[in-house]
Amino acid sequence: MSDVAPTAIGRSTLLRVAVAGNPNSGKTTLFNALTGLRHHVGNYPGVTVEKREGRLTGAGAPVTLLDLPGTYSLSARSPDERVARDALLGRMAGAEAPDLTLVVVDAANLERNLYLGAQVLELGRPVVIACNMLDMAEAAGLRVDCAALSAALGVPVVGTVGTRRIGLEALRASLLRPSPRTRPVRGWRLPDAIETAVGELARTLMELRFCDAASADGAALLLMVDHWDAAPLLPEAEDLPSRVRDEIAAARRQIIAAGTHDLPSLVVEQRYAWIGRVVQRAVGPTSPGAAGRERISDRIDRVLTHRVFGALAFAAVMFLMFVAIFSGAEPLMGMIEAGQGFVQDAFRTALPPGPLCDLLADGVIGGVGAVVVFFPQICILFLFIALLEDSGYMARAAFLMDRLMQGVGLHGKSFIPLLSSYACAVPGIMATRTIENPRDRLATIMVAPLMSCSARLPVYITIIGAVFGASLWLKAGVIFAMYVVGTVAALLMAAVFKRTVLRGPRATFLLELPPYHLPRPGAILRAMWDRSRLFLTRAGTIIAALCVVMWALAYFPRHPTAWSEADRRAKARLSTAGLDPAAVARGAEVPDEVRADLKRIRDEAAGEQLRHSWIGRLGHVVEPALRPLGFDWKIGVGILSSFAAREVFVSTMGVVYNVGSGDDDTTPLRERMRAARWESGPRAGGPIYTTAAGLSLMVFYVLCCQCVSTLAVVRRETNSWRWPAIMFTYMTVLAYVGSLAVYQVGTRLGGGLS
Amino acid sequence: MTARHDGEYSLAELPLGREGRVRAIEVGAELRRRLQEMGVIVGTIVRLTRIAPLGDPLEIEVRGYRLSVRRADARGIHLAHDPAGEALTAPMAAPAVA
Repeated sequence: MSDVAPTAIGRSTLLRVAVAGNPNSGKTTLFNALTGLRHHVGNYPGVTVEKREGRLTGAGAPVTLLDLPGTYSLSARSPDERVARDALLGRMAGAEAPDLTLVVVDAANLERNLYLGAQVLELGRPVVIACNMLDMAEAAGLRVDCAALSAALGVPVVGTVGTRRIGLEALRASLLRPSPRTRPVRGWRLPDAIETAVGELARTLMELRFCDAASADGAALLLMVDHWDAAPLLPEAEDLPSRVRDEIAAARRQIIAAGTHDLPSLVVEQRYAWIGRVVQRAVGPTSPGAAGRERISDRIDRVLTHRVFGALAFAAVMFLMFVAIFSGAEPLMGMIEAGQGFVQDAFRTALPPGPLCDLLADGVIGGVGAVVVFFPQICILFLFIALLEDSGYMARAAFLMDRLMQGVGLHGKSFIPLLSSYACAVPGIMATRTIENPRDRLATIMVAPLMSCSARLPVYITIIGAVFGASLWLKAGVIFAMYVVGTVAALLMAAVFKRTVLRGPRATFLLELPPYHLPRPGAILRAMWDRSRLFLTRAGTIIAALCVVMWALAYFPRHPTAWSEADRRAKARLSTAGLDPAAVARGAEVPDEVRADLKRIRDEAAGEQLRHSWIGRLGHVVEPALRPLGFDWKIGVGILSSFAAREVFVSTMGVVYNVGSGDDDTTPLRERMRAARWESGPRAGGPIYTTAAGLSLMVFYVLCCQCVSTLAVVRRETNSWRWPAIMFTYMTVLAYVGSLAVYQVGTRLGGGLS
Repeated sequence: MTARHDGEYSLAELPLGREGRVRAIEVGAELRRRLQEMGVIVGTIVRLTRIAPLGDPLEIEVRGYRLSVRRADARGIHLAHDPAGEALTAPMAAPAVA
């Protein structure tokens, strides 16, 4: 254990540096400063843990930096921690152990930060420590002696202030200069019987090439502690070689026989005792009594977590965020939609009419547009989240809201993802990345799409227009009721999920409340951009592909005569008006009433085509199932086409009712809907859009998962099709049952509702 | 280990602004390990610094930083009367006895 293994670092070869550190240690700021913001963001294979890699700038030698997830420990109990541990041990697919580990510690919070530092040091490989945020330490009345710290730890310690780029040169130099460890790999010892058992496990790990010789002792200790408690704490068990498993079990029996029943506690206590001795040698007050001053953060918190002012401030921040996502993105979304229309028109002009032209213009460009149109909302939400995280307010928001979320088994950190899902579930689901516990995160993801998003609004408005008339209060009341239905359903389902498939040990809520920082614009924009771009590259491809599929279902098979018939009728209409079709095609004047007739002919052909397509046929197929909900086959077609995106309902219904899809004014559509009558069945001749049917249809849209983008994002965020499949199924069932209940109860309540 | 003696109480019963020394941690395995890794171990001094507006969770100071724990979990963190901390039982703003 006392053997020190300095690894010779050749100057000519690529040097790989891993950057480890606690959350809130300023690790990312330092990483950005060292790599000059030129880095690659991706995911580690198989997990949704963000992976960031960059090149060290100004080094004169090729050095790559790998930013490990911010963790408090290397005990592999969360995906983040496991990634950090496996990366340091060289157990990540396709990557060897790093040549050097840079551990970033917060000088103002040295004891807890050095806990992770101690675990990294115990892995026996070259380490450099950046003692960061020295300014914050000083403001808190602490003087940290980096030389004394270096002497006590046996590795180079460089004092830095990442936000002001202080100490970066010294840090670069020490990353490039190999320096042997001057202290034992582990500064503390366990009772002899335990050391023997750990040593035996370490030898097995070496034999099996589980990790290299230098790391074996530290790795053995980590594995012993992680596998001490009977039940594995991470849902998916670790895939250890069976010999390692047996060896761990044998060592555990040996240690218990020797009288130690709680090895993990012993290890933690020994580590902290050693850290206490190290810190005592390196940290003192800047001046007598300086360490007791009230921090600025405390003064801010006295307002921001105050019973009244804190709640008001929180409500104001959330309201601002909500308004920004909801309305701030609107002009940009309008521009994107206009741009999409422009490109589609350009394709139509440039290409001969036919399936290829339609595929490119409507299928592909439409699909890409469906992705890009979310981008402004996602950017705005991530801008807010970066701002809240960087300033330290995010932790306070969770602190304030935890009590409310506890009731349904969720975490304080679930609040912001759920709230932003009112605007759009896609960024809301991506925002769940801040929730560390995988079960809490999944429960939040699974219920986020029930929050009534902005895409449902046009649907509500159309239905309300057809059913409830123009009373503003009635309209507003019904829409508000739909938001309540969605929210209550989300909270109930969260409770259901937490008690069934996602049941586990009660959620742990252990949250650091870091001191407030002034947010730095550069870092915030960078964080916003990194996350938003992931949406385009990761989810975007799936969304665009699914949109093309939905387009094809409505496009094929082609109606044999509808279009040629429409063509013939249009020509006939033009000749009765005394116009030359060829001249009109070149752009000649057409009187308004002729133009209206031409539109009607086109709309009717489009309606025939839709009814003839796969989706149109499916509408007829599903009608028997939808009748108990009060829906006819036309609504069935609207619902089916909405599975790509809910707002499609309005344009599809326009086509189904032969009034066209492109108009902003939905008055003709609403009139047609109001006039619609049942063609057959017990209600034949009666109106379709009764109050009960209208409410039933709206409840269906609240509860049903009609959004391929959401499913694609869930697929990306959970790395399997299992969760999107479960989400789609449970929401569809919920929507069916909910609508059925509303319609059946509604029609039985009597004449007033029908 | 679970027996309670006079002058012992849980973190949830600590008056706002006061300190106590951790005597035992009796919570679920996962939380217990996390608390320990975050520096809340037997012998550590913790101070209750804040209570969330809805009465839960709590904010404590430990090893110079702030940590939020739920009240239900705090009930499992048993504190001992700290011999060095007479202020534990005395009112905080007690005037110094001349």
